Amino acid sequence: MKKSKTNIKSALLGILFLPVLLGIFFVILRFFSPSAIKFPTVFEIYQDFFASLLDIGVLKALLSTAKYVLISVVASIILGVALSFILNLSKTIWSATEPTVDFLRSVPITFFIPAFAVILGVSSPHIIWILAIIPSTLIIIVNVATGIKELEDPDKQNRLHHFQLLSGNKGKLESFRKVKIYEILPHFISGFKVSLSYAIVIVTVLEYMQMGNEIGLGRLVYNEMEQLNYGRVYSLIIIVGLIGNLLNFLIESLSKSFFKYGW
Amino acid sequence: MSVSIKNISFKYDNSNKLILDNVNLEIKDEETVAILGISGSGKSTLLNIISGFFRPLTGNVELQRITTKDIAYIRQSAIEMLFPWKNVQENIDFSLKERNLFTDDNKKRNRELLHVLKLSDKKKQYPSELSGGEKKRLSFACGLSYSPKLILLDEAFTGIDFSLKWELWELLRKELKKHNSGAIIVTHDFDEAILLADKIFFLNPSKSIDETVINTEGMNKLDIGTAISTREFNELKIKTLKVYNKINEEI
Repeated sequence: MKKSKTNIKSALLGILFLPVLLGIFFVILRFFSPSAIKFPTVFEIYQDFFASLLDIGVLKALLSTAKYVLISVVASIILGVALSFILNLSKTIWSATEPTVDFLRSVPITFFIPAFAVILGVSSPHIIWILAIIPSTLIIIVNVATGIKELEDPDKQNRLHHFQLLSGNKGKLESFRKVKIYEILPHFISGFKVSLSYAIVIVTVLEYMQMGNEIGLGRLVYNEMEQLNYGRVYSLIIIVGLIGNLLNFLIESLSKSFFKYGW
Repeated sequence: MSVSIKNISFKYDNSNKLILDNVNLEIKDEETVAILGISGSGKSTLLNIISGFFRPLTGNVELQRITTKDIAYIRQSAIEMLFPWKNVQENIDFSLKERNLFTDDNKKRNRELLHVLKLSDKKKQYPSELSGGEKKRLSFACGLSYSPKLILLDEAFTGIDFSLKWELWELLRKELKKHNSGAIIVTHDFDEAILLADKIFFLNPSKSIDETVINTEGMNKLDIGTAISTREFNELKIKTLKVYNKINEEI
């Protein structure tokens, strides 16, 4: 009982802290910003926020961005997991490709924009897929491949050996299904979280740069800024932040319900 | 059940040195053998070869009236034997389910094992939520759950407090007797070797001694409390120490 009271208290404090912090931020912007633009009041921003929540245009932009993010992440998972296993088929293949994966991962994705813009054209919707899929896939590969490589660690090998003895010498498929997948899953989850963040950032940035998607959240923020409608811009930032919170909460809850264990 | 280890030699891929050089050992009629030797003499490697995990360079292991399916392997590191994604109950039931032996009798046996090992109230907990001693007890329960005919113990009692060690020694003795099973115990602990094994085998890499086996003269059949208070127990301990030191000096 006491624990649940403490939990409710912590949750309430967490919910209240954000609007208070944003309020302080908006007050500072309004009175201390060197910009000549007149910033909206805190009240106006929150008013815009609630209006945006009911705005069908915002919902459409949100769904459009979500579609790009979702497809990019799903494609990255399929590609990334498949490539991780292919690259780990032999030590030679992995040694040959690991530096390239590291090299590509180190290059900021914005640097690839001109290369693909030339090939596909800036208004092509494919540019979003490609530029979101590349880094997200690399992240999945690095994480899953690490999980696969770690299966060679002595403790993991001993557990696999133990599985062989306990199960009465079941085959490779069974050991993959019942042990190896579980050993790799935490690495996959870590990769998934990072690749999702990458996909969101890239899709919205490209929309903001008016590439590919014309009705996404990034484009909407850009349009509102062009019209000096800052109340709306900040309300959209709050909405995106809250969606991020919700996504994190969902992923954490799913991880906890599926993987009740720790290493 | 018997195990014949014949002319086993072994070296690791990344080394030129033979870790086991022409090792021979006979384990007959549900015997329990303790293997003593200095660190790096290949004790654990030998267990890995017997269980089929490593392939020897030369020689072979002949298992009679058992197959590798009848072997259990209990290691020093309990967590390597447990599946972190399964709770206590699922871990102990795992082997029986995999072997299609999940009968009412076996379920009852698992319940008893959990009770004896004081894990009955931890059934729903995951290994990461257990203490070191509880993990160790669970690893024993998992190893014993399918009534193996040959139990390999690789420093399985190292790093645990004496009262738990005593409990596990008692449990192991009972299980071996109940199921007419044999065991091979790799250890550095002379007391453990004398109190659990029928004979003690010394891994002797330098071939410096002829006598590599000591008979424990039925010490493992006596009650543990009684055994450790006998003169014979102390004499055996001194004898074991002398052989061990002789091998150590030569190396």
